[in-house]
Amino acid sequence: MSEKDMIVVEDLNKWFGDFHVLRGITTTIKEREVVVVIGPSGSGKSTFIRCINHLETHQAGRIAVDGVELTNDLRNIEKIRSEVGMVFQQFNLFPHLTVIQNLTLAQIWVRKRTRTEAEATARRLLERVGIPEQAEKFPGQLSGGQQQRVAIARALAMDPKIMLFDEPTSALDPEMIKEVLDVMKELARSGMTMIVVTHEMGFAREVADRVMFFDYGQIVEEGTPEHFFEAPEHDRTKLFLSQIL
Amino acid sequence: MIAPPLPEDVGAIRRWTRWARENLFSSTFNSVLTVISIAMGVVVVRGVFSYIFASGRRWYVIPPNMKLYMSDVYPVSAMGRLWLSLGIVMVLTGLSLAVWRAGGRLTPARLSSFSSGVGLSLLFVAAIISIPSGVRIGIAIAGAVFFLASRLAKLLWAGNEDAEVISLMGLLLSAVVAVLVVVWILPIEHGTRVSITIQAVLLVGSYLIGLVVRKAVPAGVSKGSLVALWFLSLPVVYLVVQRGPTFGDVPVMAMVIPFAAGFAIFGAAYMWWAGSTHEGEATKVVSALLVIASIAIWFTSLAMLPRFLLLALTVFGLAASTFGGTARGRNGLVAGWIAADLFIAYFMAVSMGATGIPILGNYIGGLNLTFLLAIAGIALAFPLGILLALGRTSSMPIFRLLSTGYIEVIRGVPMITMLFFGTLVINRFLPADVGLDIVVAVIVAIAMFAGAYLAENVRGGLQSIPKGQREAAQALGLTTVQMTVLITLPQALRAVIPAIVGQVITMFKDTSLVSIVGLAEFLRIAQKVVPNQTGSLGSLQESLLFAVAVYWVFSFGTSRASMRLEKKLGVGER
Repeated sequence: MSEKDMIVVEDLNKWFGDFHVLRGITTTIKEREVVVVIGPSGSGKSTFIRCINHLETHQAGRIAVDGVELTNDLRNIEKIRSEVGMVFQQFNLFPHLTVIQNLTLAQIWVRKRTRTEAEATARRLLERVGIPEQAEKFPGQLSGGQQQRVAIARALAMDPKIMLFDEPTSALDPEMIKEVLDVMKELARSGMTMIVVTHEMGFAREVADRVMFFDYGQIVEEGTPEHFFEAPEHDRTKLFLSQIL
Repeated sequence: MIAPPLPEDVGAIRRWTRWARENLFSSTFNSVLTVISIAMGVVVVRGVFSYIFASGRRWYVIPPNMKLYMSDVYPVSAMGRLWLSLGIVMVLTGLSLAVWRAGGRLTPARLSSFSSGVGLSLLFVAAIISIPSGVRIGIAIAGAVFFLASRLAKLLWAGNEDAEVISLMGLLLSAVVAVLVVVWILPIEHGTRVSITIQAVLLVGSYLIGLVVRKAVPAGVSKGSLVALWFLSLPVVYLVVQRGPTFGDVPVMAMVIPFAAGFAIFGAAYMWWAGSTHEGEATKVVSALLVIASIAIWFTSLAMLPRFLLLALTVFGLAASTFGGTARGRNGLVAGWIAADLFIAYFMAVSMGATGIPILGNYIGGLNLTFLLAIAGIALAFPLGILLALGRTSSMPIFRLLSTGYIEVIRGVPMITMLFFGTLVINRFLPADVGLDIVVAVIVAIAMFAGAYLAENVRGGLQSIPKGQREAAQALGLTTVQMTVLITLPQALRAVIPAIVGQVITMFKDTSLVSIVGLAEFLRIAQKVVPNQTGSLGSLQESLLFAVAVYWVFSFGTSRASMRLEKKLGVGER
């Protein structure tokens, strides 16, 4: 972890209609830091990370990603999005394209790489996530775990500085969760800045630099995994941990 | 309860009886329904076929009137133009068949079941209809031949029924040979025979060339160019058939060449600049100014050529930020612009000059007109429908309002009204130096009408795409245009192929309505013209039955082709 601030969030507020979903979030995420966000459903943790690449718009507060202020200016948004990779719960692979085309599309159109460069990067990443032999198949022909690994490779193909994971294992069969978590662990050790929304406490214990507990749109408690799992301070955190562990 | 599958060596008879017991006579009620349905089927088939093959049918009146059916009173001296345009279509068809590898999945098993189906149907028909015994025996023999052929095919390929032994090439060649045999047997003019033979040679030849192209050129390039050529062939065929390549009174030297050259040079320079400075603010300002200018120019009294060229340049300017950014993209933009500039200049000079004289004196009619209207109408309706669908689902209120308004107005109006609008009203909206001739006006009306319906189909497809697809595209940093063109539209169109094909078939048959504005398309020829010829006076029933057969063949062919397409694209699977 270096001292450089990668993501700065100050007093972030967001409403869905009358529902106040994010209530003054303030935090700073350093380069190479791995932050795991946990909390009950509806606590605003997914909304929080979706605000970082502007899939959701916030109404008050500020977000800066790698020094670029997130405003409503389209060019700013596109610049930030090409630096921030995202992995979704439902994978969201493009079903009409083969795996390799899924990986090369944005490289060619956004990063303006040649097809040869893009395919070389794509094959290297498929190797890294352990499924080089699936390159010519369509997403529908792969298992859930394989699809999610392709989705991770697709995000990595853009050489992002930050990776966001929105419950990446929640839609998977139990026996496939491990293969995805292994890829994520390897990524964390390689020094990627990551924010992971998940219910996988084992993953949080093992690789997180910091665990953040969300409830009612606020960060109730945050700290190192040791502190968080062994000696939580707030009653709400204790209750949540007692229910899931 | 489902009975276990029968062992392999059980005979056909036992398989059939078991199938019938399980599917037709599984309960008393089902047995009653089966018997009633079969009885009704027999009555209907007997009635229809007895009518078609009633004694005294004068089928011999059809072949001598073939020229009328195909092209009405199009001058015989200009028939070469028709053959030329058909030749263009044949070459493109041959190339497309090879490049897209259409067909090619014909297996002995399918051939044999098709053949036995035809054979059994013919035998059934021969058994139940009341016709002269000579015809009956003929049909029965044909049925028996088909049926025996299917058994023979099974014997010959026993063991590898699913191998792809019959190539598309073989199928194509045998179809061509069959057509040629028929052509040289039937009593038709020698010139026509030669022309048809030339067309067949063009088809097979271009198929062979297409096979070479497929090996030598990357698939994306060859398919893209072929799609572009198909679109380009529409105006070319229209010009060849309907107008001479004469520049008439159009001031070529004074207007067309200066405008075309000026736009080519400045447009190419603009494309070079906009295609390289990808993140510049200035390119956006310029393209916004161009949008305003290209709208404003329609309120001036300038000629049509600069208006269209400016409009095209504006579209290119808007696309530049999406496709530019690399040396290859920039060069493509420049080359694309020059090609578009030249094409627009040529097309406008030839077709929309002050005296766009239909040099042939007579409009084309018959099946050729039906096809021209259907194909050109569909081809123009596609981009219109897609734009309207995108407009209606857009987040920009003005686009949404305009598209919704257009769609709802057009859908609330009968097609015949649109045809009258096309022939009587459209020209009043256009500047004085443009007079659309009636065929173009009708094509425009058909495209406007069909575009509105197509838009609703495409909108259904767009709405069926999960939200996650857009989010994933956005998260990767794709722009809205890239997301639409690369992610949402391909999926949306694939999802609505069945609906779109249904609409294409409807449009093809709806072209018969244009007879109401005085165009002699195929059905009108069959209904009014042929039965009034001296040699075929009163042959209305034969003529209409022939028309039914022709419409059916093409509609059914389209439907089968779309099923292949769905299978190939894996609709509903991926």
